[in-house]
Amino acid sequence: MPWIVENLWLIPFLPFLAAGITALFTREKRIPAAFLVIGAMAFSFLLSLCAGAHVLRAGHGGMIREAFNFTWFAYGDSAVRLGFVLDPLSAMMLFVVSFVSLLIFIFSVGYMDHDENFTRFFCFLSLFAGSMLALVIANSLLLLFMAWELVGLSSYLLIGFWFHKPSAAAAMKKAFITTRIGDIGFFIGLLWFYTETGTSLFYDGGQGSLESAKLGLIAAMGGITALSISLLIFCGAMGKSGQFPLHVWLPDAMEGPTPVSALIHAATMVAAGVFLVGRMYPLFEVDPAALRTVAYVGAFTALFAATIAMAQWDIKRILAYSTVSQLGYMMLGLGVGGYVAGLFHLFTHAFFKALLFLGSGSIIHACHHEQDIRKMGGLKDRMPVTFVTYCVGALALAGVLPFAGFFSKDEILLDAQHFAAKLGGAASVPFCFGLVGAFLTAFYMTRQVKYVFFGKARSHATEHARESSWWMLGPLAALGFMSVFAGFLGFPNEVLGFIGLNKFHHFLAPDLHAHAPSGWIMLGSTAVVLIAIFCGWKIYQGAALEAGAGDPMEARWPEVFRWLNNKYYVDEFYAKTFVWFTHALARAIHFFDRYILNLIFIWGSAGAVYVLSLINQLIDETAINRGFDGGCSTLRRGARWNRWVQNGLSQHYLRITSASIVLLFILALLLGR
Amino acid sequence: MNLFDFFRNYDIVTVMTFFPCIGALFLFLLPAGSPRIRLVAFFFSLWPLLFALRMLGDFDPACAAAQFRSRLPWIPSLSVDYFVGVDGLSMAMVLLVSILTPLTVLGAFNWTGTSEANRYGAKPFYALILLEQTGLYGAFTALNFFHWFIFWEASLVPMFFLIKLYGGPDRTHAAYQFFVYTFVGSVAMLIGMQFVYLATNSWDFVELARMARTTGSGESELAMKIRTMAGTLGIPWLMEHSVTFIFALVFLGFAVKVPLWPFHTWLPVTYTQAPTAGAMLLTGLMSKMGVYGFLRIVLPLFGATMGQYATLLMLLAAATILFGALAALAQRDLKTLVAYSSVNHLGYCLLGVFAVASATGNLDDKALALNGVIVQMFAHGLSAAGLFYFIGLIEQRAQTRQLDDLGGLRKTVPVLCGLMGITMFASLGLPGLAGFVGEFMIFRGAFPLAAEITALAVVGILLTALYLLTMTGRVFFGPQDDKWNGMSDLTLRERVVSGVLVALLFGIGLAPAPLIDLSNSAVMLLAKSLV
Amino acid sequence: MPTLADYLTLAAILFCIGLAGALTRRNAIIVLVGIEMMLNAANINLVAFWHFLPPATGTGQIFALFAIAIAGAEAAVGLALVIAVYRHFRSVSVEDIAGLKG
Repeated sequence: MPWIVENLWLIPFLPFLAAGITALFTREKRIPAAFLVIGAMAFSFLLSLCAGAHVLRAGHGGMIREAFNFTWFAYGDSAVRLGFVLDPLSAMMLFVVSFVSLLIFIFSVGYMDHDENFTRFFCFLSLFAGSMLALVIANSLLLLFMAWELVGLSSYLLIGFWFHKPSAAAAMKKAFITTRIGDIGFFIGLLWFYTETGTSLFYDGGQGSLESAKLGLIAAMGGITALSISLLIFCGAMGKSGQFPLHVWLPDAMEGPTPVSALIHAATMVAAGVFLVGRMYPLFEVDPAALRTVAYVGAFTALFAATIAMAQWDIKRILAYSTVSQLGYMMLGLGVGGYVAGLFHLFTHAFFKALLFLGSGSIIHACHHEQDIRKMGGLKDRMPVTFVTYCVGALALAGVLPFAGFFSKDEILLDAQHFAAKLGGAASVPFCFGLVGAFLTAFYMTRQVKYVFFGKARSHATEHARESSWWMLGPLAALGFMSVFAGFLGFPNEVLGFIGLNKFHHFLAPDLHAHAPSGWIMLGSTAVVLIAIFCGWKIYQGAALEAGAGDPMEARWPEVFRWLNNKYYVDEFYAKTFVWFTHALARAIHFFDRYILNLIFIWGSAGAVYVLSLINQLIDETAINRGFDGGCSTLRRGARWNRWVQNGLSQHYLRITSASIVLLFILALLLGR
Repeated sequence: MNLFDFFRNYDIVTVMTFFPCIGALFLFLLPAGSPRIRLVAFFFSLWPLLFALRMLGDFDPACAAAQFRSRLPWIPSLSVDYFVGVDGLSMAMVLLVSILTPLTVLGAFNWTGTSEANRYGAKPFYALILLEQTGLYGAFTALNFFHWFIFWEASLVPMFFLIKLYGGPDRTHAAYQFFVYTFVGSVAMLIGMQFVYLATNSWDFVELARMARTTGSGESELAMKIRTMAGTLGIPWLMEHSVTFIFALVFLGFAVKVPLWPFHTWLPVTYTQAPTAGAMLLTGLMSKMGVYGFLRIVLPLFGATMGQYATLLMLLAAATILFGALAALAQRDLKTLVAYSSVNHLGYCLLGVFAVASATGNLDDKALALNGVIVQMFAHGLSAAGLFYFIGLIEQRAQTRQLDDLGGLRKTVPVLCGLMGITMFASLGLPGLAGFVGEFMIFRGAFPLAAEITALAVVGILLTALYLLTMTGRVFFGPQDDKWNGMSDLTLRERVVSGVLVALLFGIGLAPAPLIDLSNSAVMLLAKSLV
Repeated sequence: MPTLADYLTLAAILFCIGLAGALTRRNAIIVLVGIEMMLNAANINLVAFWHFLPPATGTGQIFALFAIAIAGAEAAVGLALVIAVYRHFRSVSVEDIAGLKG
């Protein structure tokens, strides 16, 4: 077994170790903590590169998949086994996660420099990155779930990093609980899958749960087993990746410091759901209905979240809803059969979304934690580096040629179009939603860029904004570079034959047939995006960017805008229904316990004892007491006589004795014979 | 026999059992108010750990039968023996007692200085804890019903006095309720077991389990004997259902103790009113006696009977999990909340026990679930005792444990918050910490046996997260309140107590294999009798 | 030849005299003498029964001998007691000695 496969565990272990050590640090040890965490992450990044190189080299001309499995514990006559796997998917994820995490860590040094809990922050960051890295290399659904939960924990800790704000305290709980709702499904799916396949490992030399032997077993079972397991596991993905209806936690998670938002919403946590579907893809393929569901959920989420993003004022919330929408795209891609397309979008999105979040972090930092885009404006001159990189990110997100987002989005639309063509009817929904979503995405990004960077400064803080330090700009530049060029890895092979051969596709799934690119779709989506940017540019300029001016869309359609601004009132709906119901149920159970059950059991048993004691009392007083009292008074009388008898004079005693003897004699004489 | 031989061959289980008891007597030799009382108590509660570790060293995990046996005839005419031994089921529990009691004593150092806890002085307080420890050791090592029952009941008495003398404002009510309610259950069990004795002429767990394992013509030797005995009464209907009746009586005793919904209502009151040390012992160890009783008595003796009602019982276990969690969500008092969380967590153990009893299923799944029950007992013992300890610390510092009064403590007491946070996450089943291992094993073992009910019970882990995070949020997060400014963070001693707990939680969560290896053989023996 | 009844009558008379002495006199020494007389009355009975009733083994005689020996010991102890009582109470009158009262 190659060295890198055997030591794959080191990649998550190093950040975990760094987290463990910094957890013991005091607040003052800021520099050692940052140094340790970034150092560990850098080592992990290097190891990830080694892993990637190994896959590239060994996988030449074919798929490589090497696993290192071990026994966690034995029970009965069998054992629960865990393992790590190195294959193109995990290598790709390792690269993305460690690269983006490393840049975000470096960015955080600048962003968090004034925070008193700087040390703790790096500890949590490291924990987060470690969990995520463990998640992507897990060769076992169980280990994946464990890392998955740890990711949830660290996001909980990071979202609530400023726990003194009540909104952050609420958001951290909401994030954990909402994702855990999905995890319930995931866990049940895990139990079921484990039970049916009898192994916790994905790949185990032909005996793994994702290998054809076991999948054949599940397929042969027929019925809804495969579909149910897939959908249950998909529940987990919906929770983590913020798919409707479990998307509500994601925008609230913006309460965390901005690097956290970048980490959670760009490269790692939210990608975990998409990754899960990618990892379990062989299972999802068993029943086509499972993938179809994924496609529809993704398509709906993509459109739904994009509409909300159009009417938000908070710079980070816009990006958050954009993330939800893009995750919908990825799911859509996976669901319509574009395994590579979905994961390619995950790959490119990680870079440009991290770039956008870090860019917004740079802006927020410069504007003294102002997040409302109505109070920004004119930042393009004051923060030129941020402006340029932000625009690169925005163009990539909008999907403009030749930025990274274009290629991945185009591939998704291509697969969606094939899906629609193959199935017909309702199957064209994903494609249409995707296209409308692309329009909206380009539109709201234009709106945001115009509000933030153009016009005049609309608040005092913005007027004095200054470009951020190089701790922050460096990562922006690196991510900007990736946002421009990462897309070329997936350059479709037939457009310009001499550039690319869709390297990404070959890397990830060499055996999978790629659809031939369609010029019409490229042209169409480019046209849609350009129109959207043009519209946005025209609407948001001049008077619309003056201080105090409302959104022109709001003036035009106030009702619609209000609904969008309030996120379709989903939160309120949940609060009125599920949350209310849970608490009402809790109170009802409490009442039932306290009064009804207590009455029956506690007072019942107490009552039984009491009745017994009443009976006992009755017996005591009538039978026992009477006898006892009688005995007592007899004894008392006897004692009085006794007192006369026992006067201490021996002659008296002798007298009584002799008198008794005489009496006895007389008696014997009279009664005897 | 020379001295050397004596020290090699002494009956380690008995010595360990009565060591704390001797300590309790020794305490009374010290002058009242002596500062040495607590140190002496700590010494006597800690020393048995050495015995336990020595046993652990000599323990043969491959052997399913009880080891370190010692058997002396006690009342031969009633076939009562003094019969002790440690097998895979009890080894983990002995370790838990040996670890948790000294920690409780060390933790109690905080409270014996205060006027509230000083109501009756430190001497009886520690003596009662030590007596409780003896009772627990006895109950976890006895292999003869008669002498087991004595320890089972004897462990009630010190706890009664701990609550009655040192508890909260409503302590008298709580103590009596605790005693009477659990006693009613015990009496039911005693009656049931007397029938068993009359039928079999044996109190011996090992012998009775063997009888239950031996089957002939469709029913076990034990069931046959019970029916024959009931037949002498001449009521055919009674004879038909005699095994069920006896099972129900014995079951009731343990169901109250664990507790199983709906027999749990004594628990919140008792835990809330008990002093912190009492609550730690109650939740950490005494509640385990009930589950242990299921493993030691009900499953081996009445496994088949229980199997007939497995669906109903599993539904009750699911109700214990879900209703316990929901009721916890509605609480405003930290201690009551964690008390309900105990109900919730023990529900997982019961789910495993009941699932295993069902007639279907294969050996490995049952072994997994039973091992999981033991891991869960161990994990919950640590985490729940830890939570009560932390609540005690908060109450001592803040003078309140109402959720509505607390808030924003994390800023003032970060170490307390961090360690309590870890304990809490262990309790809600976070992977990497002990709680997850047990829950996963139970769920995974129970799923093939009863998928729907297990799936229902899995919802419990969501509700658990809900109330625990609500609690943490209320206590630690939110704006900093000036009234907590003078609050001090954990002292060194408090760090030691919580540090040991947290380290164990991590240890079991990451590497549960040693613990599972201990119980596996005994569990396999039990599981085989249930397939 | 005197019969068994004669001996018994003699013993009864002797016993009654002893009893009367023991009951009526105040002086502890006289009481003691009365008790000795009653013992000897019993001894006469023992010997008489031995002599007249079968089987004629030596039991009765030995019994009487023991009784005499015990009576002697008793007289010695009794007198010692009387002396001790006299030292304590400065009196040998039994009416002054009521220490047996509880």
